[in-house]
Amino acid sequence: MGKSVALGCIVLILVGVLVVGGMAAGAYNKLNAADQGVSAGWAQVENVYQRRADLIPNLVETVKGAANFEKDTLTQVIQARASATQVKLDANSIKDPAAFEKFQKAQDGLGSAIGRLLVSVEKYPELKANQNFRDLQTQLEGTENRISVERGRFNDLTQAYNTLRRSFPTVIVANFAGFKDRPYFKGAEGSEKPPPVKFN
Amino acid sequence: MNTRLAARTRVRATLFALLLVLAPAGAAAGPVVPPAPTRFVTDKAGVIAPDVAVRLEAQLSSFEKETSNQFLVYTETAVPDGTTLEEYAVACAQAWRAGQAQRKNGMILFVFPGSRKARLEVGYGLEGAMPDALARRVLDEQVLPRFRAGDYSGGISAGVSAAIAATKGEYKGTGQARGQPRGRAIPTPLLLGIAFVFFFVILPALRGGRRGYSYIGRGGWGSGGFGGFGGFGGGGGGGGGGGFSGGGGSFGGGGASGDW
Repeated sequence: MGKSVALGCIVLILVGVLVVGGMAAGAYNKLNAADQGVSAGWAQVENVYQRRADLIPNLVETVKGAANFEKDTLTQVIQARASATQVKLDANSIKDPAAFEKFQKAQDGLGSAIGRLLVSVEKYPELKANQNFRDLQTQLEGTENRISVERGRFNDLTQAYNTLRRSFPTVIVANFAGFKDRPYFKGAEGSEKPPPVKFN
Repeated sequence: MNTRLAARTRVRATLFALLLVLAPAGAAAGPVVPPAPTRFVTDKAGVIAPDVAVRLEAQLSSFEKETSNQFLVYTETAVPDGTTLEEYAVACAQAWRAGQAQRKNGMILFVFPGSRKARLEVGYGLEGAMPDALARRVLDEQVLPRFRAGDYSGGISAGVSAAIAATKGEYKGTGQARGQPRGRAIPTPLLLGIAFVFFFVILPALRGGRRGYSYIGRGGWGSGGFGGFGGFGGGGGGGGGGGFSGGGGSFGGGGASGDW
């Protein structure tokens, strides 16, 4: 009897180890999947920001053609684009809240510079009638919309990841394996909604 | 014996509790999305003439058969409060999963007569064939002028025809009409479940004598697996003529909006 009790204990311990190990492995895998999800979401965000940056040279060229278009507004867009494309985030630095905020700030700066440009275009009827410009405007509008969609999805993925990371008992594995909370886009200044600029 | 049984019950209870904790966290916020349409033309606002609706339904159904593109028409009285046209349209499109999963070739024409707003929402896979500027032209040239004149049926049919003409040829039809059921990945913890059964059921049984472990391995206590993507309960679809059943497409806010 004593022997079988000892054997039973060993089996129990083995099972315990297996169970705990299994939970840890499961938690790790889920964390990893969620983390990869956030990274994939980030790739989409980068795509749409890049798309916007790519439209700007064309926009600038088109607007420049219009009779004595305000130089300041144009220069601001060009500068904002330059600083926005300078702030690049790689897979690691998007986990750093400070770098992330810098990125968001640069991109939001570009967004509002474009907004100002499109508002001032209202004063130039010949530009507004230009088919090329209208197409560009539509593309910019679409790009802003895509940005808000992809940002929203990125935030959802990040939120899911952060919630998982903080939930018990995953948090133990997360801390052990060095999974950190990931920053997301702040919705300030109405940036979650498409910009208030109305194109017509 | 009793204490062992009790201990085992406790282990089981704990595992169950852990399972609950590990269950996927709640989904994200966003506008409330109506249930997915079961037909290609959904006229909640009641602005499309019945004969036109029937014709459009047939047109869109054969468009899918030919090209596998899923193109829907959806009208609602107004854009719901607390959301914007763009936000609402992409949320609906993404939830209804128009388009095939691989090709992401869905497209939806949204019309909100009460808000005097319309939007052609274009899935990722059709953004090449239907870039924003083209979507805008379809709206500006075909749809909105007719809406301004109060002709919703005419505007919608003209828009549908123009959009179909614009996208045709990008994909050669596979005529695939339904989303296939997705296979589920076997969760790793299943293996642990097997180990569990081995230690709790088989090993004791082999050791003989001792019985009363009426343990039924429940396929493991896996942490819920990774709930496949957007899975699609495929199928069904109401009466006769086919109807719409989302194929798993995906949208990223492409397309254009307009008002009148």
